[in-house]
Amino acid sequence: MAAASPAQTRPRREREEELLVWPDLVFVEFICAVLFTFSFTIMSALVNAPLINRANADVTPNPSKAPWYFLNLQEMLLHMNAALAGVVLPTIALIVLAAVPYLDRSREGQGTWFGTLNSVRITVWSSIYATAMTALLILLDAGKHAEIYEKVTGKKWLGEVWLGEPRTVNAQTGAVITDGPPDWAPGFLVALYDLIFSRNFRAIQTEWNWSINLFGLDAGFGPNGQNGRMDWPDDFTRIPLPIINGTWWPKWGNDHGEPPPQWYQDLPDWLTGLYPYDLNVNLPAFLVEILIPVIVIVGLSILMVFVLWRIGWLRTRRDVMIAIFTAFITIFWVMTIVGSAFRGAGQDLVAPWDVPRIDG
Amino acid sequence: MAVGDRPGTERPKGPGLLGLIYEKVFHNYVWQSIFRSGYPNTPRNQMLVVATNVFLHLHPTRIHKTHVKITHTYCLGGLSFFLFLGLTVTGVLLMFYYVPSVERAYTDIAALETNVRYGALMRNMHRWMAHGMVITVLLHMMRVFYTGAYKPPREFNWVVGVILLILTLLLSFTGYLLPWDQLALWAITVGTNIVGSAPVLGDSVVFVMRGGFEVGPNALIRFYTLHVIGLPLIAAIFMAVHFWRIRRDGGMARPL
Repeated sequence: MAAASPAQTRPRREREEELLVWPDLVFVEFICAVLFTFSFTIMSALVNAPLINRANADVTPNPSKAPWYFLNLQEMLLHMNAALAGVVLPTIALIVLAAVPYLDRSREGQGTWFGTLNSVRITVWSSIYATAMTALLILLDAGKHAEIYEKVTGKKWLGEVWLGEPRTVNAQTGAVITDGPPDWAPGFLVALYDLIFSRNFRAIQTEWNWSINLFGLDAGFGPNGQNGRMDWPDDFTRIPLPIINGTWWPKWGNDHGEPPPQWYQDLPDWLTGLYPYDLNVNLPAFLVEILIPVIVIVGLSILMVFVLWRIGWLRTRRDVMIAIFTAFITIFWVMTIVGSAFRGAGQDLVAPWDVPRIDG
Repeated sequence: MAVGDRPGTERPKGPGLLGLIYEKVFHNYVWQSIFRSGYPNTPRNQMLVVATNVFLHLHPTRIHKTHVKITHTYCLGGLSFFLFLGLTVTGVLLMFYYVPSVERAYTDIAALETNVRYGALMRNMHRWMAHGMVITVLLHMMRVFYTGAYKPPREFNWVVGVILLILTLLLSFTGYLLPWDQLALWAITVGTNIVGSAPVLGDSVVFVMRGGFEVGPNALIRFYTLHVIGLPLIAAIFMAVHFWRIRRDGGMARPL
């Protein structure tokens, strides 16, 4: 017996609240173990573990999916920068998860289900909020709002929304199909005029095109470099940071075949042999894959806590913890379900019955 | 007195056939060398059996009555441990037939269904229990959170629990590759690619995990070794700490 355990020093009155572990606990545990063994045996006799074709590195199944408990990470990868979704956010989440008892140090409400006054409604509210927001963001990123608008109204999503059709040109003939803004319009007006990104944020990076006439000034950091115009997105893809990196390090940035300067050649091999990391900022990618997701995640989290605080349900730090933990767990499960049941070929958002069964 | 009977042992009352069998089975020299007392039917003996039995002594001898209610814990922590034990047993049986080489892995697993009696049952149980353990561990974490059981003095045991959650996921993930079918190969490819996206160190970490640039023979032997010995050992150590600290911290959390 544990000589110094607090159980030994409890007052007599509490002794009467206690039961003997034999038989009251060990028999329950025994029954649990038997039930579980029994159910798993039955299940294993009825349902076979999947085994499909032998591994073949040349044939990629579509869709390729991680194990189900990592599908939440795979889901996040579809919406933001890979390092942010796959590593940075999960690491932060695990550290915050481990730190929960150090952030909420009060002893209040321990040992009872939903120990604080408002904890049940906080849990319900934040799980509904997290489910709704996660679903909404996934639908928005898939452009479903535009699809629904077009289906319901019969009109095109862009064009009707703003001043008129954006300018489109036949790629082969160069003939103008629809008049866009006039040629003299400055880039930012064209940018405002063309709301392609309202269909899908990723279009900021891929489909949103505008340029500002610089009247001969050399500027821009991309493939279209010195053509006298600042073009979005091309001229914003390689903005150098004022630190040693792929652009500024003499050897790495030397695109013209000239030998590097003497002082560089004198540097030790281990230094010059370093892999030339490209630390130039790809502004469109940074905006779409990092900045907007981070703002959305942080913003919606703050909004959740703020609303709960305004309602007056958050009274202790424990209440805040409950809201954040509930949102975290809910998002985990929602994204797991979306990743398993709603992602078909090409990771497109489809109905569960349209998801190909690759596990046979 | 019967042979081997000890003072204080309760004797069965009727002298019928069942009584005779009971006497022969439970009151003989060999039985009593293993179980030193008879069925513990007094509080004192019941506490003694829990305190002195090597398996039962994880428990305290007494427990607060709210903790016996199934709805307080749903046995989730215990079930996670139970599934770990079940996975160890079925896993050892699977190791008899499985060779972690690219040439044999897939055929060995396929042969479980045709060449090995109850082979498919063992594999199915191992797989479903593995999924079950991930779920019970996650639910256990939720239970501990919503009952406020991480609060002082149990802070560190919550941290140990988070480590055990990560280990559980890693155990499941490393086992996922072993059947060496398309599902396994590409799930691990996708999973390790996620790790590879880490800034700065990503490429190196993935290279170490896979033992190369892609999921191949080296990855298989690494995942196998981690799955059958490396991670279970680490998990067992953390589990020991986890259980020990439950006792040290005064048993399960309860209202002040």
